[in-house]
Parts: sequence; structure tokens; C-alpha cells
Amino acid sequence: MYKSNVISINNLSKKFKNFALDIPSLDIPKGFATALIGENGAGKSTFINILAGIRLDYKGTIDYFNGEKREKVIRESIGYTGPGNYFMPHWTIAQIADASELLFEKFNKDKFYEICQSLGIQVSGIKKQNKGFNKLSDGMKMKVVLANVFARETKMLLLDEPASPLDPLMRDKLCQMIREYIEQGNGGNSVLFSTHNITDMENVTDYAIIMEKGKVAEQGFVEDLKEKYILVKGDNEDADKAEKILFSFQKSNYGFEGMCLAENIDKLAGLNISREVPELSQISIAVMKKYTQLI
Amino acid sequence: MQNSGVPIYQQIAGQFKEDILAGKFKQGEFLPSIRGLAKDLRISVITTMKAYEELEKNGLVTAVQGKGYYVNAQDSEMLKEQHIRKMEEHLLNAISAARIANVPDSELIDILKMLIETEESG
Amino acid sequence: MKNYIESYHMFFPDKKFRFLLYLVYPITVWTILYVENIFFDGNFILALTAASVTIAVECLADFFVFAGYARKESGKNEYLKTSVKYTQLLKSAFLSDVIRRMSSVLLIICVPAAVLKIPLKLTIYLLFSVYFFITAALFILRFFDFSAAYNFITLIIVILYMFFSIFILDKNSFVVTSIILFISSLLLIAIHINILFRVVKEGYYD
Repeated sequence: MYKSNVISINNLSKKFKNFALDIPSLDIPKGFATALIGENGAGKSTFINILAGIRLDYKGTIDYFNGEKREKVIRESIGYTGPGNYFMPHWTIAQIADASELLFEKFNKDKFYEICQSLGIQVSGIKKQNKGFNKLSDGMKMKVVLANVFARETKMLLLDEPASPLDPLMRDKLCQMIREYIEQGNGGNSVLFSTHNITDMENVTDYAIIMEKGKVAEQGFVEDLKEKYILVKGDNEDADKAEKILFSFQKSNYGFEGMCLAENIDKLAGLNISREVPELSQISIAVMKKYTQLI
Repeated sequence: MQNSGVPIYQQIAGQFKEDILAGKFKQGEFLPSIRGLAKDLRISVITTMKAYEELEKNGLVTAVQGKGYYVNAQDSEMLKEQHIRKMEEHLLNAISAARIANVPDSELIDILKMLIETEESG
Repeated sequence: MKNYIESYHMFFPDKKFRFLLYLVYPITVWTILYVENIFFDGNFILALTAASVTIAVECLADFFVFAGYARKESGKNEYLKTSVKYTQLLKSAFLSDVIRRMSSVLLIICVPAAVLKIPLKLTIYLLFSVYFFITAALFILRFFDFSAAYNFITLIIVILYMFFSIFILDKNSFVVTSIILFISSLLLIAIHINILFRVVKEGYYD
């Protein structure tokens, strides 16, 4: 199947006091859910803020939707959510709905209230949620923010740490909302979300970008990454031999464990090892550790 | 989730392969969309996509840009062979179960005949 | 037009604020004047009362609307910043605010002035001086986003207004002063709006 890109990035850079975002080339695939994985401070939020058009001081070029240049169209087609100061602090749900109609053309007020209600937020009646946005709990805030973005007609969602404030049940619901969004677009809707804990979102992730200290350390479709890296376990007597060949290495009293690049797996022939398909979180940790050692 | 060693996409491909060879899909019928299937199974799109690509590799389906994957005409000889292999597998299982229970071969054959009659009568 | 009003109301803390600002505020000032008129005789005292209450309310009310908007802050209103209409809506809101304020001051001063038969020169002075002092106050106030600053500076402004008005009364130069204040107000508004628009744009940069 032909794969195309929804966003193409070239020579993106942004300098801070003690940190620099440096991405020479990156493509976000279209029609899929991409996870931006990295530790806190790796540059994920800065990167997403730049893509979402909240931050305009950067160098480099970003190509949206295959050559779309009209700012109006781009901003209407992108749905951003973030954990920071998102809405005006005093806005109630009703005010959020009213303001959204002013700010975005394809905002559906009824759908917004519908999603809020389905996420457990009372939108009518005696128990109607009437608190100012800032007075809501973190989990509730994110629910309202997500309801708002899913109530708009968009082609791309940029979600900065959407899962962090959510409980496990809601995380699962979020994954399903993402799947539905991607299905509705029939290849035309894409999602990029950041997380510092990929385990929660792993089974909705199609493409992974692992970021470390402002740079892309690794990227690829999840199934391809799971073939590139093999999780190897063995006994301590083989530890020294294995350590030289493995990409990442960890030793304990019960044996060693590490990630092996598929191209090197034959070098471990003869050793008493077990091979497993790694989880994306395991690949991420190995890559991030390795990257930190290199730079 | 995946520590059984068989990647999920292979499990899915295997299931579809069985269904296709069992004739559950008509020739030319389109499989569910990769995104719809991912939603129903609650997994990522790339997994369903890889499963379908696997089926395509094995000649069971063909990809059509923009429309999805449709089921190829299955060789009826191949189908039959598949079913015969399955039958032999099940019969071997019956034989080893009979051995464990100390059921003599003649009794095993009688039971088989009786079951066939029961199947045929209704 | 509807867009202007709606964008302005986006900044209001809640629906009852509209009720307070458009209805309760003018009626309160008029009531105070009406009651005062029963007990006191003297245009100047009434004038100062009207002026100081109007200035105080306008300054303190602004805290709930545009506090902090003259100060560059890149870390807020992220949702709004992603919209292509944000800058335009902000501009509509600021302008609506200017027009609303002019209307409020005009209405609040002129109605009692007519009813209580306050002399024309004094009325004109009231209109332009009140408007100028509020404008000058907001110019400073909007750099702050905490209520203590708004409370303190408003108090200072009202006291300054009193002294200024007494000085002008002494000099009996109502008309000349009014003209100077009128022109100064327009200048101040122009500069202030300029600052506000520039700050919004800079919010997208570090």
C-alpha cells in the first residue's frame, strides 16, 4: 500500500538556553497514529507547539497537507491539545462552546456537548458542570479539551501528552476515539501524540518517533521496529560475549537481557539465548539510553 | 500482549487465512478496511495492514489502491488439500487419544462409523 | 457587529458580569447621585462623586476582563492561539471595549447632568477628564495581572483625580483642560491599542 506524508519537516531548529531542537528531516505518515516518545525535557512539547502554530520562532520549513500554503486552511485543519494553559481560566463549558464557535469554523457545538456527556461531564440539568475551567481536576480538564478537539472537523490532531492526566479507563477510551477518528478519515486523518510513557498508548500506535535531547534518535513503523530489534535473554556465563554484540545490555543475578539488532543476531549463534519480540516501550528505553551514551 | 512469540499481525493473518480457505469469503469480496478492523479489534492500523500484507504475500488477497484488499480465487485443489490435511490431523489426534484410553483399533473404527451414520441421519 | 460583541464577551468572567456592567453599574452611580442630591447642595460635590465612582468601577471591572494583556506572556491561551481568527477577535474585543467605555461614560455622566441641571462647562469637563483618567489608568493597570495592583493603583488614580479637579476648579479652566484631555485621550488610546496588538503578536515568540 502506498504511504504518503501529512507533514514534512526540513532543517527544523530552535535554540534555548541549555537545550536545542535539531531535526534535519522528518516525515509524519498520513492516515496513521504517530507516537512521539521521549523523556520530559526531550523537546516534544516544543516540537508540537511549533507544528501547531503556537510557537513561530524557529528555523526551517514545515510542509503541511502536501503543499497547502494557506494559513487559514492549515489552522482550521489542525486540532491541537495540550496540558498547559489551554482555555481562558474562567471559561465554563458553555463559554468554551461559545468561544469555539467564534474561533473555528467547523466546530460542532452539539457534538461537543455529546462527547462531554459521554465522558462523564454533566452538560445540562441540575448537576450541570458550571465551574471555571481552571477549577476542574486535571483529568476533567483533559476530557473537556479532548471533547472540544474531537468536536471539530479536522485532518490532523496534534495531542501533547493527552494520556498523562487520564485514568486507565479514560486512556482506553482515548485510544478508541483516536481509532474512530482515523477510521472516519479513511486514510485522510492523521494523529500525532506525545507521551513519556508509551505503554498506555502502545496498541494504538502505528508509527513511533523516539526523541532524545532535541533530536530524533529513532523512528519507524512499529511492526518494522519490532523486526529491527530483538529482545535477547541469556545466562551470565555468556554475558561478556553477548555484551559486545548487543545494542543495549543489562545484567542481574539471574542472567543478562538486552536488545539486539536483527542484523547482528547471527553473531550470537552458539550461545544459549532466548529471543522475544520486544514491546515498543522496551525498544524506546534501549534507544534512549543508547542515544544518551553516544552524544 | 505479544509475549507468546507470535506477533499479533501473524495471528490475525492466520485467522483470515483459515477463513478464506474455508470458503467464508467469496472470490472478489473485500476484506474489512484496515482502519475499521483496527477499530473493532482495538489495535493499531499498522498491525492490520501488516496482516493483510502477509495475506497478499501468500497469494490469498490482492491490494487495490484506495479500495482495500479483495479475496483471490482460491485454487479448489489447494482448498481440498488443505481440508484433507486438517482431516488427517484430527484423525491422528483421535488415534492417540484412543491409545491413551486403551481403546482397541477395531472399536475406534466402529465408533467412527457410528458417528458418520448419526451425522448423515440428521 | 455581532462578532464584535461576542468576541468582547469572550473575555468576561461569566454571564452575570454583563448584567453588572451594563445595568447595575450605571444604576448604582445614578442612585448614589440621586441620594446625595437630597442631602447636599452643590454641583461640584455631585460631579466629583459621579466621577470617582465611575473611574473606580471602570478600573476595577477591567481586572476581570483584560488584566495582564499589556504584558507579553507566551504561555497562555494556547487553544486560542491555534486559531487563525484569534488576533482578529482580540482586536474586535479591544475596540468594542473602547467604544463600550465611551458610551458608558457618556451615558452615566450626561443623564444625571441633565436631570440635576449641572452646568454645561462642568459636564464637559467631567466627560473628558473622567475618560482621560480611566484611559491613563488602564494603560498602566493592564500590565498587572493581580488584584492587589488593580486595587492600589485605582485608589491612587481616584485620589489624583480629586486633587486635579480641585486644581482645575480653582483655575476655572474647564474648557481648555477638556480640549487638552480629549486630545490626550485619543493619543493614549492609539498608543495603548498599538501596544496590545503588538503584545499579542509577540506571544507567538519567545
